[in-house]
Amino acid sequence: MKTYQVRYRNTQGTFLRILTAVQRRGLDMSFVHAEKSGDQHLVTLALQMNAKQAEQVSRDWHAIMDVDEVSVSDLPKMAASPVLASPSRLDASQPIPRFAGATASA
Amino acid sequence: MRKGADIVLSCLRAEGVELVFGYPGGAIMPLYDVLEGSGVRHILSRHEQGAVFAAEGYSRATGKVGVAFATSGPGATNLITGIADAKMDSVPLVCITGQVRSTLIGSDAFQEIDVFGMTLSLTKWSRLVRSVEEIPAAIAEGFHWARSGRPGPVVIDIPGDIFRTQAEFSGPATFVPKRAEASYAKDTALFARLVDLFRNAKKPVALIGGGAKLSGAIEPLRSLLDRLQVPTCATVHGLGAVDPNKGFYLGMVGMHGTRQANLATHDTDLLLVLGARLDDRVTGEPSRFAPNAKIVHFEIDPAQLDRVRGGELAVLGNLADTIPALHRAVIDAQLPTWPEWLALVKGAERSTADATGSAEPTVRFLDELYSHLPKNSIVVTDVGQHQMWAAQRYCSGNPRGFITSGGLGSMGFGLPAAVGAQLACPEATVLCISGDGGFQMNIQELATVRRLNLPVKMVIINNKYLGMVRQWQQLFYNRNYAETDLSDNPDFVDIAEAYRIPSQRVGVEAVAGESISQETKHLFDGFLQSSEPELLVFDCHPEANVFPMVPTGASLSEMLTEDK
Repeated sequence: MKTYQVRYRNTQGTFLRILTAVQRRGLDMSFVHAEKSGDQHLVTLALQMNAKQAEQVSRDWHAIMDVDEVSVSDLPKMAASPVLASPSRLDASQPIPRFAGATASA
Repeated sequence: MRKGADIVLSCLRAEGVELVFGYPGGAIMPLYDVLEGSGVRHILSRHEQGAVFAAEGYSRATGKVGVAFATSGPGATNLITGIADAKMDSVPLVCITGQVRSTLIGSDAFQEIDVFGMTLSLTKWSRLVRSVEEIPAAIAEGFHWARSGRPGPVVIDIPGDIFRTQAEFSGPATFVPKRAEASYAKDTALFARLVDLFRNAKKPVALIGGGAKLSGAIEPLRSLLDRLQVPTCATVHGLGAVDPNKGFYLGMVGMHGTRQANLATHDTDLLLVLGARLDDRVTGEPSRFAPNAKIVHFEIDPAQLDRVRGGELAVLGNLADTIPALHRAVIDAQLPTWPEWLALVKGAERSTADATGSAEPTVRFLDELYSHLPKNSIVVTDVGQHQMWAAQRYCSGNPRGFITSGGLGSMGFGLPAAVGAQLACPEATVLCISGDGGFQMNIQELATVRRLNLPVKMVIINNKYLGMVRQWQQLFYNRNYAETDLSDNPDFVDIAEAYRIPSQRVGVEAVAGESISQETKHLFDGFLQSSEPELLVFDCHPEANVFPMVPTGASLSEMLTEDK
């Protein structure tokens, strides 16, 4: 199980699209927490996914119009009790790049 | 001061919309009330699914955004299949749905449905408009997302009171996205790597998908392929992107692809994928797809990269930019040619297996019909065996000349999509090929055809079965033809007569013999050249099967080529 964080602009439906990308794969969401973070929002999800699922879900998240960043980290020990876990106390997370392959030139 | 409904139509006109397809109802009545004189022509379908498929046909034929209107509740839910269809096949579509008035939302009001929630996983973007002032921005943003990047559907849900509310309107809005679409078109190192891959390849193959058409990159694509001279195949949505008369063209690849295309794609050591998402109908068993190949994937949607199988190289961006970049890199490079490889893939032992036995009359019928089609005709199909035969035999180089429901495979698509295509291209011959099952799913659109006097040429390949399902039941379910018998179909000629549409029926004898008779040729000419809508029912063999066929779990090289 790992912790995924998705940073997004809280426009209509964006949060629901982030959740839909997970639920359409029949994955359990054992922990979900969304909060304002600066001028954006941040949702934290604890998910058990295999490598292929994680890749696909991350890609689906990146494809959502108002999603800016997706990152992953190992689940902190304190999240054994999910209610007590706080996103601000998570270990440093690794960003998941939007694109595979060579460096993009926008 | 303008009513919200007026503002909607003004904003649609500003987006270049001339034609919308729809069906009125309670919640959307205020919008219909202001249609007259708005400059937007409304085409009344006879079912909202007919409207959204017609909007798709219009969009697929032109590249413009298709627009469909529907009322709340059942009107909106009847759009769902078309929205899903547009998502799967990357069709730019904007659906405007009426919603119950704002104060009733969430109360399970009459004809209230959460269309926003229902379509979340089907749309690129959607919006429940909460004030009349939001309308211009919602429409501008909706159209942007519908047509940009990988095109797709959007839904804009507008409560009835918002349509009726008046507000100052200073003009349509413009939308500027907050994040730019990435492109690798200027990454010269990437293209240098790709040229090296070509230099080292022994058996390269190019696979062309619908993205080649969506990007408008047909001419650069054809120039590139002429330079590369590699064996080239197309997905069902890529048909027409490549000139079929080119010596390196192998035909359609995939579950019902040609032997040449499937064997070449299986054997290749370098697969250049241009604008295809490598759907499982194309790959066969994904884990056994092109087992020896390095895959170079040109794609606009990052979500499609490495989705089915890991690639060697990803070239992200619009093909209109990335194909010319590749061409420039290739021009200066001293690439080998692959004449022995091309001779092998096009050789007699790999050549397309012509249909034999019970499928042969249907294939001859389609071949003959196609030979009578004028240039720049549009073929629209429904879904099933007829669709695969129509795709296999398609031999035109008109990039927007073959319209079909690919990714979702929606039966009932053909007739309404043909309505949209005919309205989009009034001078073109639009040939709609359906099966007897699918034709009945939106048969009510014959009324639309008749009302508008659309000269659509409709063919029903009538085998009195749900043919493709029956084929699978024959091959994989021990001939247990459960619920696929349509032998009690009505007489389609009688139905056409009721809709005042000329019709006729022919059987396999019309295409029997060494060569097609003059009588049949005159019949086809008369049928296609009529200024009226026409229906032609072809009574074919009930248990003909489509081959080649790649069964589930098999690789492209493991095609079935004859009945078991």
